[in-house]
Amino acid sequence: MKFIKAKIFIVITFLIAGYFFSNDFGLIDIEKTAIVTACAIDKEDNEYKVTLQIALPSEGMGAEQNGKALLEGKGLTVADAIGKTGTVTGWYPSLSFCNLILVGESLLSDDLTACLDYFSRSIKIQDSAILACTENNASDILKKTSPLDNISGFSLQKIILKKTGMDGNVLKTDLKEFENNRFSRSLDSYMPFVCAVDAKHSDNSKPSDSGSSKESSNSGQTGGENEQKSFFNASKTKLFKKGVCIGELNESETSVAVLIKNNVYDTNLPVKNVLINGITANYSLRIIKSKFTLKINTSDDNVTVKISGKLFVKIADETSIDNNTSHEPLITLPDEVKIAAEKALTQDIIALTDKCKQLKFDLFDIDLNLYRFHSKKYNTKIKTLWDNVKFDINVSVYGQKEYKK
Amino acid sequence: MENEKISKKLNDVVAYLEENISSDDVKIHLFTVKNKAFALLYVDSLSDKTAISDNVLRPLKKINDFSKESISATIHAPEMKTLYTYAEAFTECFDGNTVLFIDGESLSLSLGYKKFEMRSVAEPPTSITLRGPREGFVECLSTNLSLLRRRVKSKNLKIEFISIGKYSETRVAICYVDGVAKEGLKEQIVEKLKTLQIDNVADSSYIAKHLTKDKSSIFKEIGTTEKPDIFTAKLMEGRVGLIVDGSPFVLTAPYVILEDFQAADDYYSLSYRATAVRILRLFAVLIAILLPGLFVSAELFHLQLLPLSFLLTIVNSIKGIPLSPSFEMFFTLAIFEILNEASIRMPKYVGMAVSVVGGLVLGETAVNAGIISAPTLMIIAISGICLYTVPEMVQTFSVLRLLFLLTAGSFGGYGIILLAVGVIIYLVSAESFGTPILAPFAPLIIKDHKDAIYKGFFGENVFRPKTFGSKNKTRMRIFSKFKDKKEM
Amino acid sequence: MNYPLKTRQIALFFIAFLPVVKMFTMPKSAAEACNEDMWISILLCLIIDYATILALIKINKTHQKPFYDILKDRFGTITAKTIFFVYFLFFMIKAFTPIFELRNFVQNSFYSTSLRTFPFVPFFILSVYFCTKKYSVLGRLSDLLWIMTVLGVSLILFLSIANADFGAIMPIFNNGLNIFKGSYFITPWFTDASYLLFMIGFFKHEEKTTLKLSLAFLAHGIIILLFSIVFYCSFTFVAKREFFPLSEIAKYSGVINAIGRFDYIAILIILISNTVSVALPLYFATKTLSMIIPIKNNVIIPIIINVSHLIIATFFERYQQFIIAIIHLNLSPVMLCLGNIAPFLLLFIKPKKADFTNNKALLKRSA
Repeated sequence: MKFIKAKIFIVITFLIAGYFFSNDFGLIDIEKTAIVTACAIDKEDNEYKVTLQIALPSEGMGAEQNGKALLEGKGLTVADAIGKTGTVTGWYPSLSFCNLILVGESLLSDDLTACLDYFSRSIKIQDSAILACTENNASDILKKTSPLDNISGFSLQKIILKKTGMDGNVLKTDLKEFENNRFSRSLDSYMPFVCAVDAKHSDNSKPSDSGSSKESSNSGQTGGENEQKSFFNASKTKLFKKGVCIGELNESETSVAVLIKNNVYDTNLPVKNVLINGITANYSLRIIKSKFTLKINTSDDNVTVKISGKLFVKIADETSIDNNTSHEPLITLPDEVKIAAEKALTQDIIALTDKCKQLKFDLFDIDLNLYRFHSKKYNTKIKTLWDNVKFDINVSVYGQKEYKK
Repeated sequence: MENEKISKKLNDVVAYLEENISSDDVKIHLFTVKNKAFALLYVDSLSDKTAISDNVLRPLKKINDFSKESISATIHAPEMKTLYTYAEAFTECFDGNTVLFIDGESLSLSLGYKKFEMRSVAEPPTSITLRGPREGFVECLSTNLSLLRRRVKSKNLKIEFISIGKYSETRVAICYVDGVAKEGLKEQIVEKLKTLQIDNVADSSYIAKHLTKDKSSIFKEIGTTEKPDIFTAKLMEGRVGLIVDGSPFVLTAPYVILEDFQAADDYYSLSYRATAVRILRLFAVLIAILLPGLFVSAELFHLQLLPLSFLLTIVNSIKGIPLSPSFEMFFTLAIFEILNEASIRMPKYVGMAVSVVGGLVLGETAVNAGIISAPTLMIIAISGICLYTVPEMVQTFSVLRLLFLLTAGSFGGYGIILLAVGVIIYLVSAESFGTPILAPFAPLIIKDHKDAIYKGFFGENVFRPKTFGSKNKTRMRIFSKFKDKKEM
Repeated sequence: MNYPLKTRQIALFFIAFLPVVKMFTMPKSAAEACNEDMWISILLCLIIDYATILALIKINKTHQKPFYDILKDRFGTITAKTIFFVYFLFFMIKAFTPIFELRNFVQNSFYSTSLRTFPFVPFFILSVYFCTKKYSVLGRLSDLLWIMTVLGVSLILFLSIANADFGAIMPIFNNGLNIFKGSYFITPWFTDASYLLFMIGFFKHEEKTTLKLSLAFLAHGIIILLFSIVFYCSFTFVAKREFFPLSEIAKYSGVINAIGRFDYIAILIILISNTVSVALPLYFATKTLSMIIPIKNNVIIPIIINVSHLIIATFFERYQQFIIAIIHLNLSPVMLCLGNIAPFLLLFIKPKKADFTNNKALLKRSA
């Protein structure tokens, strides 16, 4: 038969075209898909209550409030609850864009692995979704609006997902990292703790436009309905052992933890009450570069963890307490400031390590490092780790090198 | 009849001619000079009657010796051939030459007094250059050959004629540079051409399609060009060219897909620019073929491929559109193709109206009416523009684009992958006269990459491309001093 | 003598097609067996494969004849066909795991809400087309697709390497015998030397053949090891639950947060090489069966082979894990023998003197 290949090719093309035009692929239409951007989980009456925040296109929605962009569902499991959100609305929830998972305070006393299990198993939700716990109900946080963005999920993400290292006051974690830590040798994990703070702003201020909140400029709700706006604070961190909450790091402890774990830069380090030539002032040092290393020494009976840090800073601000004399701008870092900064930072780190010892919380992966690099002594050392561990802290702060004639 | 010899008696000749040629534009002019009868056979629309009168009739009236040698010496003709059969006489006559029959001689003389209307040499519309020669081939074979000869003034440029077409007797000139063209290639082509029996060769594409091994292929296997400078350059790489009488598109073989991505401008402008533009063409082609399909597959199957803000924009724009994303894209593509076709076929004076209709009415109004969405329209427009960065392959790529769209709409992203792999497998197995059409990429010929996507500097392309198998490898040498210059 | 393949093409074959098929569930399976020492079990398999490849290069140099001809000349046609039938079954079994993996990956990553069965049928149509092609086409595909593999893998690694904690592979050799268990389990993903076994005699042994092929295999090994190590170091304790490292590994980069799933571009690029790679066992199964049953129409055998795999992939989906377990737990030694050990036996077959003289003359002529 002549041109058999061409004929087969044409037949296949027609079949594909037929399949194409039938449009019958069992697909969920894009318009019937609820694009979930954030998910909040709470526990109510022994059931999981899931609140999904969905992103709605702006046109035609007009005066939509955030409450109407939230879907709620209850079930014995998280998967059940998420499924029920779809039955109420007829929309198919698509979790591919869900980048934020909030866990309410009611769940912190239980093993969080149970409620996060669905997200770990499902490939529909990204492992890189940010995880955070909230005070009171997580759904309340989602219901709040923020001056930063009409959709609370996005404004929370902005706060937590700042550029790595900058303004390091959030010890962020994602689903993968939390699970990894949960199933690590120490079974210790953490996540940021989010609180809402009421915002005070003028009636004329408008919320900023963002990618999916274009309706906010149309809504004109800020003046009219006196809606209470809130800012979010994620500067505290909750600590978990085997998925159960065992404690909390306050703001300064969290900042120090971020400094040590993430090597921050372009963030401020406050130094108080520094006396130079009879003038007492508070300084704000801008960290240009920082590097912290952890070394574990098991040569003696104890486990010694040496935390060494080097910070390269410059003076960003200087506020004289006496208010009577003005300094000329300081280009190089005075020794007094240097010493005060090192002392303050060392004390903060000691406070953090003491807390970790007290809670027996392995923030610095000591257990893991022992296993990896001192595996022969691991079995003996691990049993008495938190009783015998010592922290040796050495912090150095550097400024511009002074030129001496 | 074909080999019937010309009769000595002129009356028999004239009777034979009148019996076999009954066409009003073919003239048989009988005249006598001093009792010697002659007959002139010519086609009225192809001959220069003034030249015939001045150079044949007038000189003949003065001669006394009517031998063939004397007549040949008397007539002033730029070309003169002696013919012995009627078949040869007819061929010469319909070629535009004038045939002189002499009473008492069983031969005739073919005199080259052709004159017919033809298009003048101009820049071809399909190959515009900003810098470089602007001549283009025309329909007349002799004009085309003159353009070629002016560029290759070497005895090694060989031209062989072959006639194809039972009724059209179209002359095809096979051109090659002896010593440069791959050995055996010309013979292969001639063999292949001889197997064609056809009534009429309307265009060189008939010859091209006959020379193609896989006639049902979407991809061509014979290169084409309208420019003599490009044609010459291809001959110098080791290819064989075919100029077909009546067509301005000349053919070259073997063909590689890369040659359509190379423009003449690349060789006349900066190498950096040429390299950047070639990469741009490649990306433009990929965008043209894949973008509509990728967009449809992302909308239908893989929402997670799109960034969230873009996805919301799309959802916003497709609200209320009655068609599914795949059908909407197909419909918009169909409208675009209809506009394209109409703009080629329509008379020029309605072109403006159609542009308005196409642009404003179909574009903006259709979007405002909610029949199609703005992203779809934009994608088809981008795809359409990108397609024309490689004009020689527009037909191929537009078919591919449709196939990718159908596959993407049916099977999603993985369908695109499978079709892409299928096309790649097809391309790597296709050959043009023994040369893989994806050379120098597959098979990988590293030396030829100096003029592939990367355009080397002048002086870098010292060797002929290995792809075409020419035994004469060196095409350029640059000496530091003139006295060191040797023959290549 | 016109060889359909060149040394360069075989070298690029190693880079283009061998690594991509090992990027689906193989790293996770190795991690399940021996945790942080998974790279050692992979390395072991690579070393065994490399040893076999060196042996095959020597065999090609000595015999300069296809595998079938060597067997036929030494043992006769019936023995040769019997051995080829065994290898036909070998390739049919070898094809199961990659096909199931690819199917699961495509359906889970790309088609979360649509029909699960039908979209994979076109793969087999393409495979039939591919199986009808000659060795020269395979060589040219290598020339072209190696760049896709390198580009895709580079992009994936570029996006994922920043999030990997390379200390996770410490301590070394802490898992003892589990390393060998891991190697045993992942053997069916390797045994790539069997491809070279069927390509001997189709490429000329040149001066630098051993060096080129060794470097190419080293590159392939580096790609696999690097990918597996980065995978394990990104996921550490949860590595065992990651079924599809390819689509998970690069998600944590900052680019993804800003632009969207940029890594899907790299995945799509890799899938181009991977599609051919998954079809390779079917291709070689076609070649072996064609030698056993020479049929003029070269489409029938590929259709039979691909339809049988399509039926199993479609109607026996429920038994998928069972089939994979049988292959990896029970049939691993058989695959190891056929893929890696049996080729060494060819070293003991010396070419006949006449053949040797002919080969020398052949080599001289073609040099």
